[in-house]
This record gives sequence, C-alpha cells and structure tokens, in this order.
Amino acid sequence: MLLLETKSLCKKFGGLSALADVNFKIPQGEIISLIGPNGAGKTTFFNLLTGVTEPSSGDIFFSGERINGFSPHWITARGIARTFQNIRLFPNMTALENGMIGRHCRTRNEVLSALFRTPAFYREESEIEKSAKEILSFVGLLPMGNVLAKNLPYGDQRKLEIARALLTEPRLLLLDEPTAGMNPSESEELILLIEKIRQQGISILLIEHQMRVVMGISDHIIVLDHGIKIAEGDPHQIQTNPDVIEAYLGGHHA
Amino acid sequence: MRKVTSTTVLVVNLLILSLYPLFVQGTSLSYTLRLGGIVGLYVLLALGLNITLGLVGLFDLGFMAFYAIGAYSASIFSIGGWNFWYSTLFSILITVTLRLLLGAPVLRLRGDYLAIVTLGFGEITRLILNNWDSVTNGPKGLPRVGESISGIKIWNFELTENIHYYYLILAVVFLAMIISKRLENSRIGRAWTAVREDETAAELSGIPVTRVKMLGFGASSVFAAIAGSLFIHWEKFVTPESFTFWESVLVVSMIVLGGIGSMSGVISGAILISGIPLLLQVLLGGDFISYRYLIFGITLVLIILFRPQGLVPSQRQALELGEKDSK
Repeated sequence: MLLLETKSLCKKFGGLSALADVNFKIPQGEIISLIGPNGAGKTTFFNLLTGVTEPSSGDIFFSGERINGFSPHWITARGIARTFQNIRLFPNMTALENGMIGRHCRTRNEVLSALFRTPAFYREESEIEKSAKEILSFVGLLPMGNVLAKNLPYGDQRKLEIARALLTEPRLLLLDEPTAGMNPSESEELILLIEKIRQQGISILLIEHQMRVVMGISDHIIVLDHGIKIAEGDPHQIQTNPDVIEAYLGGHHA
Repeated sequence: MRKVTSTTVLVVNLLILSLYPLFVQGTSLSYTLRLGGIVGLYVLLALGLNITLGLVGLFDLGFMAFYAIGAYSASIFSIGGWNFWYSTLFSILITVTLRLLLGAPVLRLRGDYLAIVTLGFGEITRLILNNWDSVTNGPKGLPRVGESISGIKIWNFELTENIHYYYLILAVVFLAMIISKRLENSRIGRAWTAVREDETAAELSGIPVTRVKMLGFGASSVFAAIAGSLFIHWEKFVTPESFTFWESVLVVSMIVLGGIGSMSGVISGAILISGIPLLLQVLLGGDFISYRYLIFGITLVLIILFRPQGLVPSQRQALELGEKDSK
C-alpha cells in the first residue's frame, strides 16, 4: 500500500528551481533513502512534505489524502514526523519534557481542566508521562530524563529528537541526516535504532550522506541532483548507475 | 525534598504577610499597608506578563495598555452602577477581546515585530484615553464631578480601609500564583515553553503555534484586567497618567530582573522594583526620588552582567523516572 506519493512536485525560490517535477512513492513499512550532492533539494523536499513551505506546483498525498497547503502541526497530527539537520530541541526543557511535547497532538487537556485539575487532567498527564518514558527508554535515554536537552551529549540529542518525533505516533518518520557528526560507533547504534523503529511498522524516509549507512539499511534509494530525480532503485542498482556516479564525482569519470 | 522546602517558604511568607497588618495597623507604620497593596498589584501584573514574556517568550512592551483598558472599563461599569463583581467580569471580557484582536494579526509575526506593535499599541491606548473625552473624560480622569466609583462589597462587608484592600489583594495574588503554577505545569504550559524555546520545532512537533500563542496572550490580559479593576475600586479614581510606557518597561524589568519564566523570581522582581523605591521615597522624604532611576538603571545593568538568568532563575520540574522499568 502506498503511504506517501508526490505528483510532479515543484518548488521555485525566485528564479531558482529547487525541485522540479519530482514523482515519488513510499510504500508502507519501508526504509527509503534520499541522497544527492549538497544543494540537490533534499531538505527542501522534507520541508514540502511537512508543510514548512508550500509547493509551487504539484501535489502531495499521504495515505490517499492531499496534504499540501495545510499547516505543519496538522500534517504532524496526520502522521508525518521529522527531525532536523541542525538539531532543534527545546534546549531549556528536560529530555522527558521534550518527549512529552510530542504527545501534544494526541492529547486534549485545555486551560480549564488544567486550572481545576479535573480527574481527566491527571489521567491524561500520567498517560503523557508514561508514553514519554516508554519511548525514552526505547531509544535508551530514560536515565537522562531529567537532564536539560541542551546539556545532553550530541549523540543523545539526536536520539531525543527521534524520540520526540516518535511520540507524535507517526506512520512516516523523516530523518534529516541523523548520523551527521557522529563517530562510527554512534552511527552504528543509530542504524540499529532505525531498524528497531521500522520493526514497529513505521516507514522511514532518510536523508543521509554516509554511504555505508545508506547502503546498509535502505530498501530503496532515490537520488536527487539539482532538484531533479535522476535515479531510483535498490542499493545495488544505485551503486552501479552511471548517472549517479556522474552526479557525485563529476562528468568524464573513469 | 525540594518541593517540601518551597512549600514551606511559601507558607511562611504567607503567614508573615497575613499577620503583618495586625502589628502595624493603627501605628505610624500603617502607610506600609497601602504600599503593600500597590506592590501586590504590580505582582499581579508581573505574573500576568510572565505568561506572555516568560513562558511563551513573546516580547510584549505594551502590557500596561491592558491594565489601563481593564481599569477604565471597570470604572465605566462601576460609575454606571454595577457592583465590583459584574464590572470586573465585563472588564475582563473587554480586555481579553481587545487583546485577542491585537494578537490575531501580530502573533503570526516573529520576535521584534511584536515588540514594536505592542509598544505602539500601548502609546495609542494612552492617547485615546487622553483624548476620548466623552468616554474617558480625557486627562481629568474618571469619575467626573458628581459621579463616583463604588467600593467593593463582599457579601455584606464593605471594604473601606487600606487594610481591607491589602487582604483582598493578598488573596488575589495568592490565587494568581496557584493559577500560574497550574497553567505552567500542564499540557498548555509545556506547549507555551516549547514555543518559546523553538517555534519551528514546536509547530513541527504538532503544536498549533498561533493558537497556543493566542491562548497565552489572552490569559495574561485576564491578570491585567483584574489588577485594573482592583486598582480603580480601591483608588476610586483613574487618569491616563497611571499607564505610561515607563510603567510597561517597569513590569518587563521586574520579570527580567527576577528571572524570566520563574514564578518566585518574578514575584521577587516585582516586590523589589515596585516596593523599594516606594519605601525609600517615604523614608527619604522625597530627596531620593531624583536618584531613583539612576540607581534602578545601575541595578538592572549589574544584574544582567552578573546574573543574566535573573535573581531566582526558572527551574524545570524533575519527574520520577522509575529506573527499574528501563531495562
């Protein structure tokens, strides 16, 4: 079943065409990698999917429903969650609170129930706390729960971002260079985590530069260059595709 | 452990503040009750602004405008013959409505724009109060000759002395503290903090940022309206001069000096900034007044230099982690 589909998606910034006519499909339950040289339009693509920017033309369908033109929080509630290339946590909140924020779109307590501390308020608060702890322990961060996000080591901050995204109960998780700046053993740990997330039935779309990571976990790879999709296929097909080699290494290669 | 100590501190402070009038009433120190009431109103305003500035992180430089709107609408209702409760209720409604009307267009903008717009709104409000003679009686203030603002009557007890208002304001401040705390430690309060920390990340984590900001913006004006209504029912007189830009700056300073987003910090800031000059002015017989702003400025600079997070910095609540379940 198709989870996400884009139809001739275009994004122009002034005269610059950041994405041109991108058709893209993500089946349920797969890990898809989006690769391409710097400036290829990968992050722009993420921004379009999550509603940060609107496409200049074309449409995005998420489990059959058109989602372009809606606000990011609405799209998150529909089931697309993401992390960021430059970590964007809530630095002065604890790790646990960062996770609890992810529950916002799945809970409904408003001002009045908070003021009068109704039984429903306590029930929901403890439910929020419980699921946040569960996911924190899932990514291995529970012992750090009361540490302010800004005081966490870099690798843990990455994991916390993923935990926060997972707490919104996504069906599709977008990870923007999750292993950027990590050493090999940290990346290894993260790959295991991504596999574990997939086993929960969550599809993953990954932007990644480390080819070892990409080739290791992807079911399917899509290559962008200058805003155009130049290739797609399984890891083996991509590794031998001449267009991809040219995009990465320049023309007249070998 | 921490929780126990902070509750103890609160109870002790409350006891001191509620017993204090019994000792000074009727002595030469009884004027301090009036000062205490005024400080209490500032604490109320600071708690209100702390929601927008401290929790949601919206830089609001025109908060006094809403204190003014609350005070003036309550005066108009009171002159029209309504009692304290009704005029307060309707002044809250008017204040919140105007606040949201201002918020709707500007809360979509970020950072500095909001500061400029709220600053402008504060000045516009004061100018309107000064010039809309038929409603506000201009610079002469309300009530006009021959009219009067009624006092506060709770059941059959009419509040007449400063000491009555002192206790009323103390009770309202205590209530406001509970409300602040409950809002802060809730789903909405967390969302406010998240918006302050990173608006984009908050929106993408599923928080409807504009709506959440409007909630905070509106909630803070409730505090301002209540303070305004208490003020005019006590003072029984109001002019536009009570609501200058300087007053807005003072309330912002209380929050920055005390510790942005921290309730005990904000209260200490409000007490220091509003109380000490009032007290010194009385003690030094007016001579001090010319140095007041100088000392005030130097203090602010020193605090920002040496304690940028404020006197009592805000702290996040630690939750029980239940380590045993982690494996």
